[in-house]
Amino acid sequence: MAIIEAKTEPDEAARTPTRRRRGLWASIRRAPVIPLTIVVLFVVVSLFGEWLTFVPANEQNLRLRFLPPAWLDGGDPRFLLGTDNLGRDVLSRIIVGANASFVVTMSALAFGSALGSVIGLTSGYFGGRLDSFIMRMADGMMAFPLVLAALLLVAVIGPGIYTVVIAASLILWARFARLIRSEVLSVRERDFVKLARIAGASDLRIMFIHILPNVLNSVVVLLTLQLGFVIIVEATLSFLGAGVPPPTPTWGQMVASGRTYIDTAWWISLFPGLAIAGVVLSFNLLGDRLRDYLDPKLRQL
Amino acid sequence: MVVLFIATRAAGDPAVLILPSDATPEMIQSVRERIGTDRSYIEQFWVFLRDMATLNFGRSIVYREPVLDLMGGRVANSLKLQAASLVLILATAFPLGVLAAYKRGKFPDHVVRLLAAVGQAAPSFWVGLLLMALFSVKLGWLPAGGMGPGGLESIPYFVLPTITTSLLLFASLTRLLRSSMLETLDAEFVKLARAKGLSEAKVVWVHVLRNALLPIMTFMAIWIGTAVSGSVVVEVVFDWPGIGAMFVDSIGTRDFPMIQAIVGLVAVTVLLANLIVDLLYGVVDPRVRIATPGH
Repeated sequence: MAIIEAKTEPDEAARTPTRRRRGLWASIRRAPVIPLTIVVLFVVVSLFGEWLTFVPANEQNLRLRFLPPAWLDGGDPRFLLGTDNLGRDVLSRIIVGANASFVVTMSALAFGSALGSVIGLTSGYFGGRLDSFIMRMADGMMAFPLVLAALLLVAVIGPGIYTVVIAASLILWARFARLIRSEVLSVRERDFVKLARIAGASDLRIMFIHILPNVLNSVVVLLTLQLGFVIIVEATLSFLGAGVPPPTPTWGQMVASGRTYIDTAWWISLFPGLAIAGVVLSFNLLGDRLRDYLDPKLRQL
Repeated sequence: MVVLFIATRAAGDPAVLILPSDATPEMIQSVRERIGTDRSYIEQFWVFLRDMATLNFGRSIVYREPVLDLMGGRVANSLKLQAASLVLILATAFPLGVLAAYKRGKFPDHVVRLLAAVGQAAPSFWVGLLLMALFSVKLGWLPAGGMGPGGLESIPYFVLPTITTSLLLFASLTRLLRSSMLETLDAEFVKLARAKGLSEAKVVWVHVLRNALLPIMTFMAIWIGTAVSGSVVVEVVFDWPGIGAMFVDSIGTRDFPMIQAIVGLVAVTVLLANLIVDLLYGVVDPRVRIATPGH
């Protein structure tokens, strides 16, 4: 509840002039503490996960299978969140599993946003037939069910980290291209662009030096808003067996492996899912705040 | 179409995949002749186009029965689930979204926003599993999976999959409705409607809601894709005998006629849905009918 109450109304952020003047740092300090902590924890754990575990994530011990979390009867303090069907430590696997989420999400976002921005920039700048063609393609991409596309890719090139990144980028480029294009349409008509053209700047120079910096805010906002979405996509594909293949632990895969034992060993599925939900919720809340600060008119995204 | 053809051929020879690993070259050859992969790619592409145009999707490589026969009942099962969840989404998201906007900043608003934020963040496969663990395994109130014997007795089987399917779209719709309502509530024509002395209920439910629907309709077409993705996941979690679960199976067995048919079906559905949304747009907002380019 506290998290939600701490959030300011988007409209107020846009309208009250005093809030605008406070600057980014003040805004960060006012940011909700819990989501920020979760996000920082997520990043640290993804980068240094392997050094932060007490028990190696893939160490199996069949005598220690299905141990419940430490605070329940029969729990072992060495395995805080219990063990799975192969006697592996659930907590360690969650910690190491963060890495797959992180790598996939970051690569897909980097790839998708770069591709989408360039396409959107081109489409908006040149307009005409090219523009309508590209926008039709983007519409089609966004309408097509992502999970279906990703599974089709798996059938073609096999499961793996690249498959997930490509699948997520396929949808992401369209989202970025649409947004950037609409922004470029308005920036293109401004005087400084006309002046640059009179001064003899080439199309490429106008696009990347004059227009791009003016739409970067929107790119950043959309990036943060899409973070949670990509994490869920990655987890969903892992759950369906189309993600990063075992033995590398991923959160989606862990939830899936607990499905068979849901009647007795619920903790195998519960905790990795909780990690996904917590991280995604935090990214979404922070993304909303950043958008309200940088670009309130994007509220519909 | 071309993409689909290349995708299904690029994946390696299905003949090798469906036979046991110790199959003789003669056996592989005979399977190839049966499913047509021994011919040249140009020939295969021609056959592919002809089959698509005549809705001849061929026989499933795995089940050896016509794909359309296998799919028929499955599609109906998926549609039943989607219909149930659509009813649930509309029945919950509209009152809650409007309530949150109307009581903005007050307690109901906070509750609805928290609910929507969690609904967007929690992955549906996980929520489905938790619901199953709680209501089926622990409490024993509801069946854990499958579709039941049919008729009225199947209703308990619908409850958990329907809730799980609805969650994400419910959350997005509620959020969108709330922010869209907030913008419209400020508009001049709302003040006019109030000044005319219309009842508050009429102002909110007729004047504001109708105008707040516009931005939402644009998102509807995209949601249909999301709904299909969601049904794949939910059907796998709850062993629902629908088209989504079938798709996952056919990916696993490289059953290409089946994959082709399902992807083709979904692509056509998505295109039609987009068209319908574009047309509906004109119905809800007469202004669009005159100024067509872009929206």
